Formats: sequence, structure tokens, C-alpha cells
Amino acid sequence: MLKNAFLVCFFFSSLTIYGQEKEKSLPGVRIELSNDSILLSGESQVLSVKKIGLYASEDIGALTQKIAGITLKNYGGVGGMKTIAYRGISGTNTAIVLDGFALQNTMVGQSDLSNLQVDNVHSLSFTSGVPSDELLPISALMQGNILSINTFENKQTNDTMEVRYTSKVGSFGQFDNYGSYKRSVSNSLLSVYAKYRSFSGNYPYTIENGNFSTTSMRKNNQLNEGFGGINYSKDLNPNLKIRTSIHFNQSERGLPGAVILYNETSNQELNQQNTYANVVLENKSEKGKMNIYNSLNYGYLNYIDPSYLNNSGGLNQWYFNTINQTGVTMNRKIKDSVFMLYGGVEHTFSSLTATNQYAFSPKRYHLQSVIGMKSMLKKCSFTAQIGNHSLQNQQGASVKNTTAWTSYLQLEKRNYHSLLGLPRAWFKQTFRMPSFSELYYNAIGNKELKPELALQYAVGTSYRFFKKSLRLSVDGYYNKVDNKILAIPTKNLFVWTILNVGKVQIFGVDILLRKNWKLTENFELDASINYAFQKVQDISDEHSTTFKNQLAYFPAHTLQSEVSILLNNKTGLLISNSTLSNRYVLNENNTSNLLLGFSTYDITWQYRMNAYKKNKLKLSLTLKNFTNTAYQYISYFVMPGRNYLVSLNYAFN
Amino acid sequence: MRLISFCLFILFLSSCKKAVTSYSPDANVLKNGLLILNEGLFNLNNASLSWVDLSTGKVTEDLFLQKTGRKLGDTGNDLQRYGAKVYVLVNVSSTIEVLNAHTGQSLKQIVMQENGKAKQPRNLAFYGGKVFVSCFDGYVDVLDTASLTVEKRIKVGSNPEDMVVVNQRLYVSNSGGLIPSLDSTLSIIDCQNLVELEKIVVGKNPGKIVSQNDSVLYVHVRGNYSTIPSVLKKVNVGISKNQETIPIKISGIEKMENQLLIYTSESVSLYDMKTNATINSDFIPLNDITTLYRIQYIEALKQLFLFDANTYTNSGYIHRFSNTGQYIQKYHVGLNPNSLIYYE
Repeated sequence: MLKNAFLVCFFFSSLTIYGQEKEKSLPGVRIELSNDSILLSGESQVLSVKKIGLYASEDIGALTQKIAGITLKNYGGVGGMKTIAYRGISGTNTAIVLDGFALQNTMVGQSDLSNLQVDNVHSLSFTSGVPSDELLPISALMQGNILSINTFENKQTNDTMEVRYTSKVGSFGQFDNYGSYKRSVSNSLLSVYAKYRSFSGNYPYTIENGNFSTTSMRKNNQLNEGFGGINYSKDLNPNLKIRTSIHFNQSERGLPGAVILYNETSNQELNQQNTYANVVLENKSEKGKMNIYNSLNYGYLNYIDPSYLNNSGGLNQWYFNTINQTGVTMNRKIKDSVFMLYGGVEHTFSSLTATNQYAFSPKRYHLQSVIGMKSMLKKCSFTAQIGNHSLQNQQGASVKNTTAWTSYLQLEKRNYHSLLGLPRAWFKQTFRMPSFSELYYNAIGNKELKPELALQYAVGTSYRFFKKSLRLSVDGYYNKVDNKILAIPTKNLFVWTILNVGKVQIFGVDILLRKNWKLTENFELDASINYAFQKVQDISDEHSTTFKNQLAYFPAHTLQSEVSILLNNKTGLLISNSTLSNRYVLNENNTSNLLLGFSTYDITWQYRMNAYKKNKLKLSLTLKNFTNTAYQYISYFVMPGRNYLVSLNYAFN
Repeated sequence: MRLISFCLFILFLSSCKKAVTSYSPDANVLKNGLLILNEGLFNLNNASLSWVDLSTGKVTEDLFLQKTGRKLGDTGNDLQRYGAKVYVLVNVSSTIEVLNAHTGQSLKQIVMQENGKAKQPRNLAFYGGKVFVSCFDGYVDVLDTASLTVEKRIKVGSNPEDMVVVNQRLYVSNSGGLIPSLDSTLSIIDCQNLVELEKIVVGKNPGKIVSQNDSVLYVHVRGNYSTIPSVLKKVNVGISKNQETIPIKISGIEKMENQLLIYTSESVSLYDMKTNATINSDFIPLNDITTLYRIQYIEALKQLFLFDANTYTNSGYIHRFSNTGQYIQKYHVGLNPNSLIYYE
């Protein structure tokens, strides 16, 4: 474990930590083409603040479905859980980075993206690979797929004071209020924010039951949630900066569960609290950058099920999760930025304490080390990276050590060719560590689990036509997952065990097409299509009923399309469509497991005005699912029909 | 024009919607076949009935939907016939579907709720015009077969499951499957007065009960699936109260006349209840069975039916054998088949 850490540190021992020269930007993989749309560049897609506002998404989870290759699992409503998979690989292989700090969830492995608010998001990018010269936490570099969220509170400003306030009112009792204050004084930045949202969630729905349709009301879907935080950063000298932040989030929500035919009882609740405390020391010089960071997360989860038929009147379970990450990440430029070495080490300690009938208290010590090299030649760029996981899981007296190596290679053409465009290719090897739940949960966990290994290959290219007003990006990929961790019933339907039994192969194509028409100085029209084809197949056992069948809940075809109009830079209109093809609720692809595809349409009208001096107002009206389509991402987790959202934003500066 | 076409093309691509068709009930009489309950999977509302035509071997999927125009619900747990009625217990939907045994058409859906809580019906037993339903909330409900209403709730142990009627007494296994300490008892209910007489301790997590005669029961005591092993208990409920543990690996039992079929995921053994001896430890080879879920003996046919749950997440099979263990035929049915009724 230590040997790997030393190896990385040795490479960077000559880094000038306190260099005095001003930074030169290094050409990166990501190329931002404009500031208000999905952008195509290599393997990065960026959503900017303007577009995020028009989408009127309730949280980060809902927003991610605008990204090509992402399959969203949405359990419905404002507080409904949202998880993602990218190109058929589970969301646990995607790092979520908020203002440069990685969010981790060692308890269940995958973060619920409905817990991440969207009002303060300044930009959101999704990168598959290693993004440019931006320094990232080592755990994010190791995961390879990075959902990076940058907030208003953390964005550097030239103004001494900025204020944001957003108030939203929506269908089914939705109320959101968000306020933020940011002040910049002599090389330091202070920002505070708070948000409260509530949702009664009792929306009507219609489901088909054989030859009949049943209309009812979604119950126990309420949400009360508060967010708050403070960010402070200071330039200690021209090359050294300290950034700190504390974020707090607490929620109480009903869990409506799947709609059960003939039984509408639903009274489970989930209460959660999370606190994040982050600090990073950022050093930059002409030769490179280095960040030393620490991120502490403490949270609890309380699950209540009064209808559970035990002798104590139901379940009331508590889980306490602590995660502390400490790391150093750095890069160093060589030969006038033609080459760059990068890498670092991160140590993560996590623990979970469960107070339920099967109480368990696991601990994990996880050391991750990465070393990589980028070359930025005139005609092409090349990246190579290797990483190491050294992991120790401890539950009571039982200790389990695991070591795994990962690698990443990328080749990208840098100068545009009329026939080939900007071609790129990469290979990536990533691991998903089993979560605490998979290892220890309620006697079904398996502490012998090995990490899940994913091999990913991709090739693609980007084109631009008509003076860059039409852009096309095409990417093909093949992925293979070994040791897939699956829950398998082993004795009967009620006794499951988690095993490394699965093998999955995934292949597909992502196509992005965007056209922009600037018809007059004051009239601009933008249209885009984001299409994904994916085959996610079980190849575990050729004698199995499900051999080469599409895995549950992965649509073969996904389409996101939109048309937006911008008038006088004041009035905006966006009509967007989201289409998923048929899916299967289980891995066996037969008609009884078929879940029908759907297509929904949203429309947003937005008006901006400069109210007085530096005071700005923006009014948005959104009609979601305006065709009132009855649809489900997950079987019997019904989604709301036609609903509205009115949003008023105030900004000073 | 090109611009408008492009925008329309982008916005109005595929859309899927299933048309709701009108329903006309199927009144065909059920004969010479097998009516099979497929349990389905939790939260998927996909419990179903399959019909196997024994003359052709043809399987009709989702007979309940065909007969009633609606779905059976979530997690079908038991299917039995009593007189002219068929009773289907649907555990998570918490309903009892009562069907006309001749046509399969719905007579009544009984909603099993108590103070807004699902009772979660689990297993069926019958005696003297009454239907006994073990409910996971700790009661046995008594239904009148004529009025099809719950007449009485009898408090038993925790999470009751299997039941058997012997000598005017109903024996109920209290599993305690949802409590950490598990239950260990059988409740004994007087079928005439409908009261619990006593509880006897048999071991952690009792499940299936089989009667040898008026005074001897065999109980599958399942333990906690880890440190406490699954065992077979011979329980004397007559004058002698002796209990004996049969030293054999077990994950389920089924009675076949005077013999017991004791099975695990690897083998099916034939055990003689009179001599207390294993006759054949490999009575039926399981090479073609992925996940043996249950065995059911149909006396009228003198045949055995092995339920293959096929990893519990794929559609299953019914394997048909003679009472001497000779393979006859298999049928591809729904998800997690767990019980059947034979129709002459």
C-alpha cells in the first residue's frame, strides 16, 4: 500500500510548490464552444447555468438525463430517488465532484442524486476520462466517469458583492426558496447560502391493470428538506490559495414505494442528514499545480416502516456513516506544456454503524494512488494513467485486504480534418468496490466479495459544419463487466446473498447533433438531438434463460431532443422531449417483463429584465409533461402527469 | 421550411402508448389440466395463474387475466380448491381471490386489511365449511365459504405460515420470520370452537407441516439460515409429547401417501414415515432443474410435480414425474411457480 504511494510522490518530488510565475493554461481535452448549451468536445459534455435554468429540473438527478449515454432511474416526484448508469455501467463507477471535492457513499455505493440541489449550480459537466489540467480528487480520477458540479457560491467574482434569490411554486404542493450571498474582499471570498423545499407529492396517476385503467392518488410522497452552507477562500499569496466549505442537508421524506395493486397502504419514511466539511490548499505555478485536501462527511439515515409485521410495531433503523478523505493531487508541465505528468494519493477512512436487528459496524481504509502522463503534440494528444486501490475492510474481528490496479489510455486528434473530424479513442479499466451494504447488510452481505471490474473501450469523433453552426459527435463503445456484484436468492425467495457472479457486455453508440441559427441580431434558434443506442447484455452463463438478454431497466434507445429560441437576449423558450424505448423489469426479455417506453415533453418560457441598476429579475414558467403522458422509469413507480413550475429569480450583480 | 421540418423532426420522434381494449370474460370450463400459481416477484404486481392443458401440453399464460380482465396482484402465496371454489392468496396485495372452480371466473375479491394495515395472507387450510387463512400479522382468519367474509380472527404466534388440520385441530407454524429472535412454536386451534388451545415449542422458524396420522406431525424447522441449521422434526401431538430430530439435510418436505419427499437444492430423498428410514437418497435426479422451489404430490394422478423457480428471477418450469420417480414431461410457466391444482 505504502509502496504505491511513495512511487507517486517520487514522481512529483521536483514540483515547485511556491513558484511565482503566472499560470499559462494548458490545452485540454474539453473545449467549451459557447456558454449556453450542451457542448461537444472529446468525452466531455457541459451544461451551463443558462440551460440548467431552462430545464427547470427539480434536482441534479433529473438534470443528468440531458447527458448522452446516461440512463436515469427515477423513482418519481421531487423527493424520489434518482440514480444513474453511464453506458450500461452502474453509477457507482461515476464520481460526483462538487466544487472540486468528491462526494462518496460507502454505505450503499451509489449516491442518490435527488439529494443534490440545482438552484446554485453554475455549470455541470460530465467527463469520461481525464479532464484537461483541472486538478481532481484522486478518487474521481480513478473512477474515470466524472460528474462535476460547480456552484455559484464557489465561483470567483470580480464584483464585491453578489446576491441570488430564487423562489419556486409548483404543482402538488411544491415550494422552493433559495438564497445566497457572496462577498469578495481583498483576495478572499465568502459566501453563504440556504435553501428550503417542500413537496406534498400527492399527484394523481393512472395505471393499467389488465383491461382496466385505475386512477388514484400518489400517497406518502411528501418531502421537507433544508440545505445550508458556507464557503470561504483566500489567496495566501499569488500562487497559494486556501478554500474551505461546510455544507449541511437534512430531509424528511415519505417513501411511497411501488404502486401495489389492491393495496394502497404506504407509510414508510426516510430521514437523512449529511454534513460535509472541506478544506483544500491550492498551489499553482507556471510548472504545475498541486492541491492538498481533506473532506469530512458525517451523516445518518433513519428508516421507519410502521407496517413491518414484527412484534415491536414496525421497523425503526438508524445508520450512521462517516467518511474522511485526505489527499494530494498534482500536475507538472514539461517542455513548454507539451507533456504533463499528473497524479497523487488519497486516503479514505469510512465507517458505518447500524442500529438494527442485525447491528453491524464496518470500517474501511482505502488508499488510492494514480500516476499519469499527458502529451499535447501539435496533431494529437495522448494520455496514459495507472492507478492502484489498496483496501482494508474490517467488520468486528474480520479483516479483508484487497488490492487492484487500473489503467487508462487515450488518444485524440487535435487538428480538425474534414473527413475524420476530431477522432479519439480510449481504453479504461475501473473498479467498483463493494459497498458496506453489499458486504455486511442484514446477514445477506458477503464479506468475501471482490471488486467489480469494468473494461471500457471507446472510439469517436466530432464534426462541425456550416461555420461551426452544425455540430455532430459520434461515439461507439464496448464495455465488459466481470465479477458483477448481484443479489441472488440462495435458499428461497426471502433469503438472498450478494455474490460476484455476473458478467455483462455492453456496446452502443452515442450521437449528438446540434444546430444553431442566428437569424437576426435579436433572434437565435438552437436545436439539438442526443441519441443513445445501448445493448447491455447478461453473458454470465450461456445456458441461462437470460443469456444475451438486455439487462433490466436499460432501454436500447434513448433520445433527448430540444429546440430553444432566444429573443432580444431577454425572452427564451425551450421545448424539450425525452424518449425512452421499451425496457424489461427483469433480465429475462419476455412480454410479461416488458415495461413500455415513453415520450414526455416540457416547455419553458423565460423572461429576463434589469429591474434597477445591478438588480436583475428572471421569471420562468414551465409546463412539464404537457402531453400528460402516464409513464414510469421503474415499474409501478408512477411519474406525475402534466404539472407546472413557476420560478422567480433575483440577482444582484 | 427546412428549419421548421428539422425542429419538428427533433421534437416529435417516437412515442409509445398501449391501447386499452374492452374486456369480455372467458367462460370456458376448466378440465383435464393444471392450474398453477406463479408467485411473481415482490413489488412487480406480476403474480399470475398458468393453465396447462394436459391433453395437448399447451400452456396458457396468465389465465387469471384472461378470466377476470385484471391482474392477480403482488406475490401469490397459496392456491387451493375447496368444494366448488378456488382460493388464491395474494400476500403483498393482501387479497384473497375467490374463483368459480369450474370456470375460473372471479366470485369475489376479499381485501385483507385491518385498521389500514395489510394482513398479508400466507397459507390456506379448510375444515367444516370454513377457510382458515394464516396472516403474517399474527392471526389466523376464519372465513365462511358461503358468505365469503371473515368471521373471526384468532391470535396465534408471530408471522404464521403453514397449517394442517388433524383430528379437528388446526396446527399452525409460527415462523417469526420478521422478528430478530424468530418464533419457535406451533399454535393448536380447536376447529369447532375456533380458539387457540395451546402453543408447543418445536424449534426456530417452523415452516411446512405434514401429518403422518392423528398424533404425529413432521415439521420443517428452518433455523436462521446461518448459525442455526434447518432440520426436520417429528412431533408427537397425541398423548406422548415426544419430539425427535431427523438427521437429514433439508430445505423442504412433501407428503406422498405414507412417505415423505425430503429435498434440498441438490437432491430429493424418499423417506418412509413408518420405518423412519430413508428409502432412496437420490429419488429424483435434479440435473434438469435449476432452482428446486417446491414439490407437490397429486394423489388423484399419483404423480409428483417439481417446481423449478429458475433462479427466482426467470420464468419457471413444472417438471412432472410418476410416483416412482420416472420423468414424464415439463411445462414452461410463469415467474416462481409455487402451487397447483389438478383438474380431471
